[in-house]
Amino acid sequence: MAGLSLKNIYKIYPGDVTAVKDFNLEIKDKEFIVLVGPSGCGKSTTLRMIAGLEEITKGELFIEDRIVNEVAPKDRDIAMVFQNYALYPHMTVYDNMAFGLKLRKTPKAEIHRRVSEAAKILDIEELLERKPKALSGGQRQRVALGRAIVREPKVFLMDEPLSNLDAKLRVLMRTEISKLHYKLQTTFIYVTHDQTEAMTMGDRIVVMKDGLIQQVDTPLNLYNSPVNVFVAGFIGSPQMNFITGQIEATGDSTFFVFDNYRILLTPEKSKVLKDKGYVNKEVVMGIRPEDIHDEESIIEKYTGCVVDGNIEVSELMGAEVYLYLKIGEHNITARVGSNSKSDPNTITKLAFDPNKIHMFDKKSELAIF
Amino acid sequence: MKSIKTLFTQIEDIFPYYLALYNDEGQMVASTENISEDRQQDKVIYRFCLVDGTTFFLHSQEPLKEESIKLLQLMINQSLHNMSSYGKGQIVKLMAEGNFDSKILKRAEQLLLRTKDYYTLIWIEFTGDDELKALHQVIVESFKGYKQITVVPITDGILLFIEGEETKESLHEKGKRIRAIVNSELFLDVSIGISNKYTKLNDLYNAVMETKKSVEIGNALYPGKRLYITEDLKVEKLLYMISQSDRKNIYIELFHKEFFDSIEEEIYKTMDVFLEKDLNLGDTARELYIHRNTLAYRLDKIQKESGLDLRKFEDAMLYKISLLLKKSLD
Repeated sequence: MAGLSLKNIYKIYPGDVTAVKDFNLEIKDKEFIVLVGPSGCGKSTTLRMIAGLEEITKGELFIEDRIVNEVAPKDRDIAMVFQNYALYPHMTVYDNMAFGLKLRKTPKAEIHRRVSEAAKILDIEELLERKPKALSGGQRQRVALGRAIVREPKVFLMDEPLSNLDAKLRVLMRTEISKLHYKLQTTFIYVTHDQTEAMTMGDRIVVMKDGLIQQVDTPLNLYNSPVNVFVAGFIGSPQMNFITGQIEATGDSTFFVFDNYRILLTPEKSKVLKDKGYVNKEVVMGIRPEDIHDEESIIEKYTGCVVDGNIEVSELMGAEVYLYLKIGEHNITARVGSNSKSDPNTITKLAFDPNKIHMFDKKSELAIF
Repeated sequence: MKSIKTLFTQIEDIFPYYLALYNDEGQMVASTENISEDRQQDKVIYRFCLVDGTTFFLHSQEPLKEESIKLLQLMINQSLHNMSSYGKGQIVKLMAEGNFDSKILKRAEQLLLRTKDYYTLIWIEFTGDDELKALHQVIVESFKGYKQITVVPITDGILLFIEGEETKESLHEKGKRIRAIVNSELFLDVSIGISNKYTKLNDLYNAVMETKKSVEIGNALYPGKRLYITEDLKVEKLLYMISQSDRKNIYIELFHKEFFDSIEEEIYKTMDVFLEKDLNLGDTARELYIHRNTLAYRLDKIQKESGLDLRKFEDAMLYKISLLLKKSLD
C-alpha cells in the first residue's frame, strides 16, 4: 500500500525564488497521477521533492503514513524514470537492469529473479543478451522502465519519459506505460508538459502554473469544467477559443456581446450571470473548437448564436476539418466534419452551441460556469 | 624501487657522508653505502614531496647545500616516478590537481591530444565519501567505449576529460544524461559544470578551477538548475569579480531597488522568460501561456514601475545585471 500525502509543500530557493507554493495533494494507493503544466511550472521540482532529490523547504511529505522529509532518497522505496534514460552502452539488457542492484550488493539469485520478472512484464525476455545499440527506441525505453521495476518500488516517478521519442512511438509507449501501471498495481506519478499525454494516461491530473496547483480532477472534469482560463486553454487540442465581450440583458434574454455580435445565452447560464452580478460587465467567453458548427441543421437550431466567420485556412485532418477563421476581430478555430463545405477565403455562417459556452471573470480569470 | 637503490649506490661517491631515504611509514627505502653500524646520528632530515603526492624523508649526516637538495629531489622523483607506466587517467588526475613537471606533460602529450586538438571538461561535483565510489562506477560504465572520454575521480567529484571538438549541445546532452543516470541509479543529485574549449594541456588545472567556479556561481545564482555551461556564465563571472560590498553599492545606486525588492512572482517570471526568449514577444507569450496583449500589458507595467523598457536591449541588459546583482547578494 503506497498512498502519498503532500501537505503544504513549498520549495523556495535562496533569494526567495519560490518554485512550488503550498502544494497539497492526497494520492491514493495504485493511482496514476499526472502533473502537467508549462515549462517552469514546478512539476519536475515537485517530483524531485517526492524523490528526495530536492529538499522540501516547508511542509510535509508522507509515503504510506510515514513522514519522509528527512529520509534519504534511496530509502524511500521509489524508482525514477527520466527523459534521458541513458542506458549503459556496453552492457547487455540484462546487465543494464541488474547494475543498480549489483551496486547495492543484492545477492545474485535475487538479481536474477527480479530481472527475469521485469523482463517478462515488459515482454523483453528475448532481448536480454542484446546491447542497447541493437535495440529500437521503444525497446530502449522498456529497458529503462525495467531498470526501475527491478527496484520493486512502492511508487514510480516518471519525469517526461516519452519526450525524446517521435510522435508515433510516443503514442505506442503511452499505452505501454498505462498497461504497465495496470500490471504492476503500483502508484505512478507522471510529469509531462503534454496535455494529450496527461488526458490519456491519468486517473487524475494536477494542472500546475507558476508553482501553484490550478486544478486537480479527472480528465473529463478538467475538460468539461475547467476552473479558470489557464486550465481551459491548456487542456484540449486545438485550444479553447477565448473572446472578450460584455453581458447585456434585454427583457428576459441575456446576451454575450462582442464585435457587433449578440450571442443568446441559455436561461440557466443567464440566471447564473445575473445572480452573480455580471450584467453590463466585461467577461471572457470560452468555446471549444468542436462546439462551433457549420452544419445547416445546427445553425437553424441555434439561430441566436450565429456568427459570420471569414475562413483563412482550412486543414483536412482526415475525419474532421480544422477551420482557422476571423470572427469580428478574433482569431477562432473550429473543428467541423470532413464533409464540411467551407472553403478558404470564403465567409461562412457558424453557430456556437450555447450549452457548451464557458464564461470567465475578466479580472480573476476564474470560471463563472 | 630497484632504480632508487641504484641511484643511491651511484651517488655514494658524490656525497662522502651518509644519506638515507625513508618513506612516510618510517621504512628505509634506500641508502648510500657510507654507513656503519655505529654511525653517528643523522644531523638533518629533509622532506620531499613527489609529484604524485607521496612523501619521503631524506636523512643526511651533514647539512646539504641548496643546489644539492634540489638535484637530489629531482633525481629521486625521476627514479621513483616512472611516468611510462602511467595511463591517461593518472596523468589527467595529476594535471588536474596542479602537477606539471616536464615528465608529466611529456607523458600527457604521448597519451592525450595533439597540440591543435581541443579538449573540454565535464566536472561532476559531489560531496559524500560513501557514494563517490559508486558514482565513479556509474559514470565509467556510462561512458565505456567512448575512447575520447577519460573519467577521473578527484577530490569532491569526478572529472570527464573529453578529447576532440564537441558542440555545446552535445556536451549539454552528456551533462543531462549524467544527471539522469545518477538520479535514477543512485538517488543522488550532483552539480555539473561544462568547461570552455581548450587546446593546451598545461591549461588543464586552470580549466578545472574555472569549471568548478562555474558550478559555484551557477549554484548561487541559479539554484536548482544544477547543470552549468561556463560559456553561458560570462556576465555572471564578471560580476563575481567585483567584491560583495562593491556589488551592493552598485545595486543600490544604479537600480530601482524598491521595484526589484518587491517584484510579484508573475512579473518576475515574465521578465525572466522574455530574456530567455531573446526578447521575442511571440515566443514569450507562448511559453507563458498568455496572450500577446497580456504580455505587452505586463511589459508596460514593468516599464512604468521600474523605468526599464525590456523591449530595448540596453534596458534588458540593465535588468539582467541588476537581477544577477540582487541574487548574488542574497
